Amino acid sequence: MDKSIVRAYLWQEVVRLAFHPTGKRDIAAWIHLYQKSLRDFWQMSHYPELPKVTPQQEIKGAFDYEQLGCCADYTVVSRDKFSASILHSASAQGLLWSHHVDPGYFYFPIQDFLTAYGGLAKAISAFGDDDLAAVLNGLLFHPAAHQHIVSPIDKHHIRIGGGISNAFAYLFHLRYQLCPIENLRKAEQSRLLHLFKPAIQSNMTISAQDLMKVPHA
Amino acid sequence: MKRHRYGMNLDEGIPLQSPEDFELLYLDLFPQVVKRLDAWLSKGDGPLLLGGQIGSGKTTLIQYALRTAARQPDVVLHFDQDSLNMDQGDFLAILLTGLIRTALQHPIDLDFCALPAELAGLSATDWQGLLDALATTVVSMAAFTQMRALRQNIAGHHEYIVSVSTELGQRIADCLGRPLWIFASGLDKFYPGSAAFLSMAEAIAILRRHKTLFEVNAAHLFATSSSPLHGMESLLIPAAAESDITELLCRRMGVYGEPIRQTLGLLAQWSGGNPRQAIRLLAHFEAVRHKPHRNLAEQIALAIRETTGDYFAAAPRPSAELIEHLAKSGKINPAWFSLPGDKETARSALYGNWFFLNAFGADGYWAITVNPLIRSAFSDALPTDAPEVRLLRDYAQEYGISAQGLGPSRWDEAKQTEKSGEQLLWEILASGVEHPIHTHLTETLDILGAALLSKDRADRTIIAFKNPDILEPARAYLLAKANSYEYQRCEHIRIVGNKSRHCVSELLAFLQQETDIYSVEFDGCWPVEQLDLLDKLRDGFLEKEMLWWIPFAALKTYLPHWIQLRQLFEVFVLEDELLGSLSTQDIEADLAFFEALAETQDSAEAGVVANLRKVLDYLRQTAEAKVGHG
Repeated sequence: MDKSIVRAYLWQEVVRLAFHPTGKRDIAAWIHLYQKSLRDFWQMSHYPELPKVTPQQEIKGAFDYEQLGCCADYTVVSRDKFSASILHSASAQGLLWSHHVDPGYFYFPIQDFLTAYGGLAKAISAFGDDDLAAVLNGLLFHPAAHQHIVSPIDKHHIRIGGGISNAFAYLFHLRYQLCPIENLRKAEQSRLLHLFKPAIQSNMTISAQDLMKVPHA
Repeated sequence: MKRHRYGMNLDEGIPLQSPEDFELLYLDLFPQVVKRLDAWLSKGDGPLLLGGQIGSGKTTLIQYALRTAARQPDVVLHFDQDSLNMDQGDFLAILLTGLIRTALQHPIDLDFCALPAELAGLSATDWQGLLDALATTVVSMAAFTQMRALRQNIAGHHEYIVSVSTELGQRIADCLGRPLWIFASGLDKFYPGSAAFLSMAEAIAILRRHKTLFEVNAAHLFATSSSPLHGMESLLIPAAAESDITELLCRRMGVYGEPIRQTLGLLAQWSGGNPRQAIRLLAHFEAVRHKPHRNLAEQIALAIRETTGDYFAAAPRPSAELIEHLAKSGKINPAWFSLPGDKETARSALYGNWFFLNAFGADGYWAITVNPLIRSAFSDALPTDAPEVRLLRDYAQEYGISAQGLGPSRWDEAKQTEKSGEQLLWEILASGVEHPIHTHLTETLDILGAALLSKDRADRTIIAFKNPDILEPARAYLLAKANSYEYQRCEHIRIVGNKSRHCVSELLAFLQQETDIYSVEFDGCWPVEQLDLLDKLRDGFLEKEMLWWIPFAALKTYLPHWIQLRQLFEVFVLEDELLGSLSTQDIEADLAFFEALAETQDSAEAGVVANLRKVLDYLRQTAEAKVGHG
C-alpha cells in the first residue's frame, strides 16, 4: 500500500482515538484537563483559569502566556465547530488573529474517501514508526501549512497550523507549539509516539488523562 | 518540593534541600563565607555562630556546605520546628532528645543516671523508651499529653537535666575520640530580647562546650557579654550583590528569564540584596502579570506593594530618626545593637530587615542599605523638627512656658558650626533644668530608662533582676527619670504573691488608674492558679505600657505558665543590661567619683549617690566573679 495512503489512514485514526470526545460532558472534561496540564507542560508558576460552560452549552477557555507575549481564548461548540483568538502582544502592533472552523461550509471529505477505499485494516497492519512520526509531525509538531509567531525566547519556533479543523487537535497542538523548552518538546514527541502506536494497533481510545500527561525531560 | 527543570520555580523562598534543588537553583552568592565554613567544618573544634538576616540564605548555605562536608553532624537539633512559643523545658527537651538519640547509636555506658525512671517512670535503663516518649511520632492526644508532661518535668528539674545533658555530651565525645559535632538550627527564629531566647540560655551553654554550629540571626552576632552567645567565633552572611540577585531571579525563571533580564534587574534593586525578598518580589510580579491592562511599571509597583505588605504587616517599626540617620549615612555603629533596652531600636530594625548589612568597614562601622521596600514609608513620616527641638517644645508645653527663645542658641560660636543634639541637651541640663550626676552608670541607666520609659513605646517589658539589693536603687533612679525627662506619668506597685491574696485582682485594680506607665514589682511566691489566670487575661494588657519587675529565678518558673503572655513582653535582665554596657574600668571610675562626691554633697542627692554606689558595688563584684571564672 502506498505510504501516503497508509499515513492518511493513520492521520484519521490519531484524530479519532485522541481528539474525538463526544457528548458535552466528555468535551468539558477534555478541555478541563487540557487547561490544567498547561502549567506543568509549560513549567509555569500559575494555573490558567479553568474553562466555563456557557448557557448555550459552548465551552469557553483562555490562557495568558505573558512570558511569550501572547494570550489566547477559545470557544468550542463541537469537534468541528470552534474558534480560537490569539493576541500576540510581543509584536509592536499587538496583533490579534482568530482561527475559526465552521462546518457549515464545504471541507474536503477525506474520511469519506478513505472509507470508500476500504484500506483501513491493511494500513493499520502495515504502518511503521516512521509513518506514525510523520503523521504526528504533520498534525501537531510541524503542520505543513502554518504561520510563524515570533517568540522572545531564543530558538523557540512557534508554528501555528493553518489547516487544523479539529478543535481538540488544534488546542493540543497549541500546547506543544507554545512550549519553549526544547528538551520537553522532544520528550513529548517520543511520548506520543509510544502512546499512539499501541492504541492504533489495538483500536483503543486514548483517555484525556493519558493524553495530557507531561513527559519527563 | 517538585521543581520545574526548565521553567519557573517560584516559591516563598523555601531553603534548597534536595540534589535537584541545588542543581537547578543554587548560586554561590557568598564564596568567602562558604570557604570559611568549609574550613571550620573540616578543622574547627569549637562553636561557631553562622548569622544572617531573615531571608539571607543561611539555611541554604548550610545545607550546601553539609552536602560536601567530610563528616555529617553527630547531633542535629531543630529548635524551630515545634512552635516559637517555647520555654526552658522545651529547649532542654530538644537538646536532651538529640543527645540521647546519638548516644544510643554508640557503645556508651548510660548507667551514670536513671533518667528514664526519674523522668518518665520507665525502667532505669530504658533509654530507648525515653527517647520514644520525648520524640514521639504517634499522633494521639495521649502521646502529646505525655510529651508535654515530660517537658514540664524537665523544666521543673532543669538543673538536673543540664547536668545529665552535659555528661551525655561528654560521654559521646569521649566515645568518638573527637569533638562532638552538633548542628543547632532554628535559633534565628527567636528574637534576642524575647522570653523564649532567655529560656534557651541553659541549652546554649551546654551546646557551646562542643563543636556546635549555631544558625542564628544577624542580630545575635552582636550579643553583649551577658548573652549566652557572646564570645563565640562568628560568620555573617551579608547582603548579596545586585548582579547576583539578578542572576538568581533568572535561574528561578528558567527559560523565561533571559527575555526579561532587564526587568529582573529592576526587581533585584528592590530586594536590597536579600534573596528571599527578591524571590517574593518575583512571585508577586508574576502573579500581577496576569492582571489585564497593567504596564510594566504598574506591575512592578504592585509587586512591591504586595511584598511590602507581606514583610511588614506584623513587624515592629523602628524609630523614624534611626532610619533617617541610616539612609543619610549609609552606615551603622555596631555598638548600637547592644545599647541597653535597644534604645535606638537598631537591634529590632536589624532583626526585622528594616535595613541590610553589607560589609564591615575599616572605620569600625557597618555599611548598610535601608530596605528599599520601606524607604518611602519613612520619607513622609520623618519629623521636620530635630529631636532636641521637639524635646524643648514638649518641656515648654508641660511647664506652661513659651517655647520661643527657650533653650540655648543652636549656633556654636566657638566652632562656627551648628550644635549637635547632644550638645544642646547638655546645655539645657547645665542651665539649671537639672543637675545631672554624670557618670557611666547614670548614662547607662539614662539610656535604659529612655528605652523602657518612652511614651512612644507602646509595649511591655519584664525586667528580671538577680540581686534584690540593686533593684530598688536602679528602679528609683529610672522612675525618677521617667517623671522628669520624658514628661509622662508612671505609677508603681509592689504585689506580694501569696495563696491567700487575690494578687491578680490587685493588679487589675492598679491597671485601672490613669497613668502612662504601670510599673509592677512581683514579690513573694505567686500561686500557679494566679499565674495561669494572668495568662488568660493577656488580651487586657495589650493597650497598657507596663514594666514588670520579677526576680530572675522566679521568672523562669513563671514563664511556662505564661504561654500567651510571654509573647507580649520583651525581657531584660537588669544586671546583664548594666554589665553589658559598663566595663570594669567604667565601674571603678564611677566608684571613685562617688567616693569623692560623698565628701562634698550633703543634699537630697546623697541618697541617690548611696543607692548608685550599691549598684556599682554589686556590679563590680559580679564583673570580678566573671573574670575569675574566665
